[in-house]
Amino acid sequence: MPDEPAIRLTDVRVTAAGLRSMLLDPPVDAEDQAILDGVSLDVPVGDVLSVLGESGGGKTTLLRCINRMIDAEAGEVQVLGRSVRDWDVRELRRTAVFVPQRSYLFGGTVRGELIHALRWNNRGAIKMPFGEVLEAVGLSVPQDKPATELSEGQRHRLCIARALLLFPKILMLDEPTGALDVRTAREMLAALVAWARDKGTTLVCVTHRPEDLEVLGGEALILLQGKVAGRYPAADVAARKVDADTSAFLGKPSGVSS
Amino acid sequence: MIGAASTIDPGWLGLAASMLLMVVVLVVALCFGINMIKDGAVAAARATIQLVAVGLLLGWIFARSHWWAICLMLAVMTAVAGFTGGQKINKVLKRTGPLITLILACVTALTLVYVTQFAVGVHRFTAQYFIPIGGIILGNAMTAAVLATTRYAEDLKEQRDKVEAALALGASPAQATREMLRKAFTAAITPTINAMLIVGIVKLPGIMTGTLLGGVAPLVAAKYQLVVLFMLIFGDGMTSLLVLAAVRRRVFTSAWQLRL
Repeated sequence: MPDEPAIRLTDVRVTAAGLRSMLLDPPVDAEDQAILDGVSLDVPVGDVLSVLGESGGGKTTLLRCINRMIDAEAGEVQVLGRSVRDWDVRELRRTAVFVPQRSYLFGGTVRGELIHALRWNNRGAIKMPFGEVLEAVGLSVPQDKPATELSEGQRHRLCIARALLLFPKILMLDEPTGALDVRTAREMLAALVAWARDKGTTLVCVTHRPEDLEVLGGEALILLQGKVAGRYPAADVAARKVDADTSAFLGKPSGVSS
Repeated sequence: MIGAASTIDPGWLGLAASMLLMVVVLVVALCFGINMIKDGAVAAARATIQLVAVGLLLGWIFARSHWWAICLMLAVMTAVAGFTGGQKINKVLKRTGPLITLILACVTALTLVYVTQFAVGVHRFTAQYFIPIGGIILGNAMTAAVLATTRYAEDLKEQRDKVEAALALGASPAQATREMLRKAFTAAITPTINAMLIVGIVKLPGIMTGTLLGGVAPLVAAKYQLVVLFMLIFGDGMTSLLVLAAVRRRVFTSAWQLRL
């Protein structure tokens, strides 16, 4: 089915109460509110989609539904035309790889960190293009360097490279530029977009920084209070050529907070 | 039989004399302005009531050695151990009592049969061997299970984001929590391993003391102690591994989602 979108969300609803109900010992005194409130969304194969919105607006939750870290209470999430519930979990998570906002190391050298993900997926490390994925995130460090000696920004890029090595069909990044300075961020995003285009990878990227959009291109989705507030060409959002509500959230181009 | 007949009965008067020791220290403490009379009295009363009751009960069981009475006693001990263990874990993980009880029952039964048949060579189902040995296994295995589970669940809660980062890269729950499982098992088994390293140098261990008081030759007492130590490592280790495996199953959904 070549026409199936990479990701399709149909009226997806996730609430705080729903997430608590799957816990073994749910807290009793917590408040209940919708985190995602009827989100519908298509992302065609090979596209770039940026997700913007205020903190707590459901951006990360949206990505976590797609790799089934959580289950939506209502609505359906499809990846490559198939409901996420019908996928083998490991198959789904290496097809749609999610890289969290913070970087997590599992021990070893730069190369060792990359190998962890391969091993978990029962893949050998021989002939794997370690150099290529490090280059795709603009990381030029010796592969035998202990990963703990890297700076925070380098660690984060290593985490993205680790995801790239699984050659995902969909790559989901949660604020990949948070730990980087503006110039490094631009360079990395540009290299990632080129890599994704080359491999035909669909790229979904949560970001706080409208200036990231200029490099990412594609489209931008604005998520406010769990609802899709708008979807625009990325260039328009970067230039604030959008409606009043969205503009208000984005702020003035000069005084954007990171 | 370990020459039980050669042990001297302290008698009720002797018991009262030993209790006087406790009274003395509490009174001296009072002179220092430390009032522990109430705590001491409660502890002394509880210990006396509990131990005398157990002594009477075991006396009845030992005298008859009915197979069903031994089984019942072991079953009650297992249930109490499982329940107590579950209570201790409650703060980090709820409703583990039944699970721990079940695993304790299996491991204890297996260990008891093996040790009595192949290590000690008790070929009759006698209360004198099965109940005390069963008790040692249960008490230690319960503590090990509590240590292992508490450590595992606490680490998981503390590092849930890191575990999810691994899951997001295709790791299974077993792969994502391998290091935590290793640490939890080590935490459970280390006290016994450490005890083995210094055993007999600093103080004589409980079983050896007991058998010596019972009039057994020192070398035989030492052998008993060794049998017990190896048995405890098995009981603690096996219980910890089984409980950890079961807890790991419980804290993740079938879709590899963390439920803590």
